[in-house]
Order: sequence, then C-alpha cells, then structure tokens
Amino acid sequence: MWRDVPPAWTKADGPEADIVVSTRARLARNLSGMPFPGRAAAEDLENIAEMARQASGRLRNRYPDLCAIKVAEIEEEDRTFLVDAHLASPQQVRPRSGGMVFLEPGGRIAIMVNEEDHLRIQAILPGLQPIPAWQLVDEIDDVLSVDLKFACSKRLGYLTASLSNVGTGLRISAMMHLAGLAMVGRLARTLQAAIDLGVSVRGLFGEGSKGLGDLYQVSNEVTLGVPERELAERVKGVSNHLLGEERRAREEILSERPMDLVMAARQNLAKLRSAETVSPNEALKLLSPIRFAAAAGMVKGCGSKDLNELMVAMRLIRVEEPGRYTSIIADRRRAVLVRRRLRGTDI
Amino acid sequence: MEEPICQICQAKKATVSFSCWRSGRFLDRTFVCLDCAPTFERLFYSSSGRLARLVAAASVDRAKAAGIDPTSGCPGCGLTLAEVLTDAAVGCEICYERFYSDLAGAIESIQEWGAHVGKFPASRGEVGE
Repeated sequence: MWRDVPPAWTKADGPEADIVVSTRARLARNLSGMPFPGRAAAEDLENIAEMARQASGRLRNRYPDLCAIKVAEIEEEDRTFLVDAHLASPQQVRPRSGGMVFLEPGGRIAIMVNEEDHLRIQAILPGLQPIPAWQLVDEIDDVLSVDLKFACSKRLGYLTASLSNVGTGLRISAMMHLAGLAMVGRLARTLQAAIDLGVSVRGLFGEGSKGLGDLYQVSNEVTLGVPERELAERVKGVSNHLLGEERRAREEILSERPMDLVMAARQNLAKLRSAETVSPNEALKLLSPIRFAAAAGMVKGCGSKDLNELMVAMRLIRVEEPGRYTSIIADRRRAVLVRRRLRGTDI
Repeated sequence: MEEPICQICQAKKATVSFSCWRSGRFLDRTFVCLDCAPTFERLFYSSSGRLARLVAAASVDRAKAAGIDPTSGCPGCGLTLAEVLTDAAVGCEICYERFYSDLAGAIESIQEWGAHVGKFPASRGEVGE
C-alpha cells in the first residue's frame, strides 16, 4: 500500500545527501479547451480527472506500480502524510471534485490532478539530482502528451494558471540543510549571493516560511525564455555553490569549535527526550544541530536517513485547520514519536 | 525581558520582527535589526507575486486611461482583466489571447523576458499563436 512505503527521498543515499536532502522537479500542464481548475465547474474537474486517469494507462506500461488516489476518499492522516512527504500540496489534498494524485509508492513520481493547474507532474529524488529529476518528469510528460493535448502557444510555451509558471512550466528545487552557514552567521549573505545568480530561496514550506530547521529550498526563479536543461543546470550550479559554502562553514566549526556543535546537539537531544509536547517549528529547530552532528559522524544510533524519516512522520503540516485542542494532541503525539525515534541515540 | 539579538547578523539589537503564518497557523517569528531588515525582507518575503500585483495596479490604470474596460470578461472563463492582473493568474488558455497585450507587462515583471525557447508538445502543429 502506498501509505506504508517511506518516501525514497528520505533514504539519504543520493549525491551530497548529507547536506542536500532532496531534489524535486515539477511540470505544470493544462488540457487545451478546458478552463483551468480555479475557474472550472465540478463537472469539468471530474472530466479532467477522467481524462488523466485514461492517459495514465499508458504510463503504467513504464511505471507499473503507479496507483490512483482520489483525495476525497482518503483519511485525514493519509492527506497529512502526502503533504509532509512533499508528494502533494496542502491545496491538492483538500477533498473536492476531481482531486486526484497518481503516485508511485515510494514517492519518486507523483502527478497531482486539478491542483492550481490540471496536471502537476512531479519527481523527487534523494540528494542533489536536478538533471535526472527533470529527465524523469520530461519522460512522463512525453508519455502523457500522446493522449492529452496540452494548452500551449508558440510565443509563451505551455500556458499555466499562474503567470509565474508559463513557458516551460518547470520548477526544479533542491532542499538544503544549511546549519553550518547559520551557525557561523554567513547565511543571509550567502543566500543573497545565490539569489543574485538567478534562483529563488524559500523555506521548507514555501514562500515566507523562512528556514525552519535551517532547511531551504533553492529553485529556478523563471520558467520562460530559458530552455529546460539550462534551468536544471542553473539550479545545479547554484546548489553546488551553496554546497561548497556550507561545507566550508561546517569544516570551520568542526576544526575550530567542535564542542559548540556537540553541546548544541546534546542539549537539543535532551530537550526532545524530555519534552511532553513539541510543535513542528520547535521540533525542526531542535533537530537541526543533531542532523549536522549526525552528518559529521558524531551521533550514534541515528543517521541522516532516520532524521529524514522522522521529518516525514512528525506530521509537520495539518491539512485541516487545527483547533487549540487538536494542536495540543498533535504536539503530544509528535513528542512521543520523536522520543521513540531518538531512543538509543547518543552524541 | 532580555532584548533579542538580530538572528541574521547575530550582533546588533533586534528592533523588528517578521512573523510567518501559513494556512492561518503561526509558523515562526524572526527578530532582526534595522540594518538586516531590508535584506531579510528581500530574501524571504518579496516575491514575484507581489511584484506582479504592483504591475497589475499600473496596468489596470493604463487600460482605463486607454478607454479599455478592465471589467470586461474573457469569453472562455469570464475572468476580467482586473481579476487576472490582481492575482497574476488566468482562468483559461483563452485569457492569454484575450488579454495578451495587457498581460505582457506582468509576465515581463515576473519572468526573464523572452519568447519560449524550450519544449513544445508533440502536437506542435496545433499550437496557437
């Protein structure tokens, strides 16, 4: 069952996985002749979902495990899993007409139907892999194009609901853990330099969410006027630059003041082990130095893979609007889960 | 209460705070000094959407000045030019044809300007202008 398989990107077995958690590529596509989801009637949305379902048959020849999920028919817990695992957006998992996700168990491939656009074709791979991630969504796009006619113009390329996605419809992002740069106080300067190189930098949950847990998403700023491969190369180049800066910062800390890291990681581990409740924000903040220490080989009994899995399991985003009571319950459950996962961990 | 230190430069006294909310839920607050505030705002809160909205307001004014009714709707989905520009989002593919001359400015503000140079669908012969 799809919900029983941890996302493959959490395995921490990709290139540069100690710092780059995952790479995501996403293509936005709309069917010609149909209003975009924001203006479509319920009947239109159901028709679009049916067309996507029929077209997915050809995809199954190549990806036989692909399963179709109707978001209106799944439990709240499963919706939250899809969002936390970055397999669907909060907007996508709200129960409504025509809302579907085609998912390869393990989450390497996810196709959202009737999100902001008719189709959002997504691939997530562990570590830094912008080119393979783009090639994967491009291949899926080719297969779907056989049966579906996408809205497109000669001048503007693929037509999307948001003007910020028009053209290639391609957004590639690398999720990076920049704890070293944050510790040495060079994060803002380094991120500004990255932005000047033509990328945008956002927090774990998108615009405005800052760097919860020192996690940042680096993605292409534009989608029009630049070919797909060049966009992927641009994200790769800037990510490599950030990677180099982060490595330098980590080396400084490990050679000049390793005990600062050890103490921060130990204190946070103690806090997490004794906490009765822990909010998503607090959990990510406390785990950040532990993740850094784990990457440096200072942590026994817990590695990058365990911490990535924990991030998905913690239910960081609640899809339904939480009341205070619900929130406390969730914070208590999260604290118990974290304590269990960190049992036997030593720094 | 101890005065917070700027979370960006970690040196000066923080006098400004930025709060982050998502889906009605408080996520985070960052304390920064006045010197770091502009950098922080640019890094995390300025977005192409905001820029587009500024352009949109100017475009609607220009349309009115040119005698174009910004409330006239798209024949495909009914969305008006004013709505399209305010949200930097369109309702259907016909919006792009109907409002192209007015959308060009908003698209230019968001994108690295230039015609599309990437992939086209296999059925490229059917692609419209």
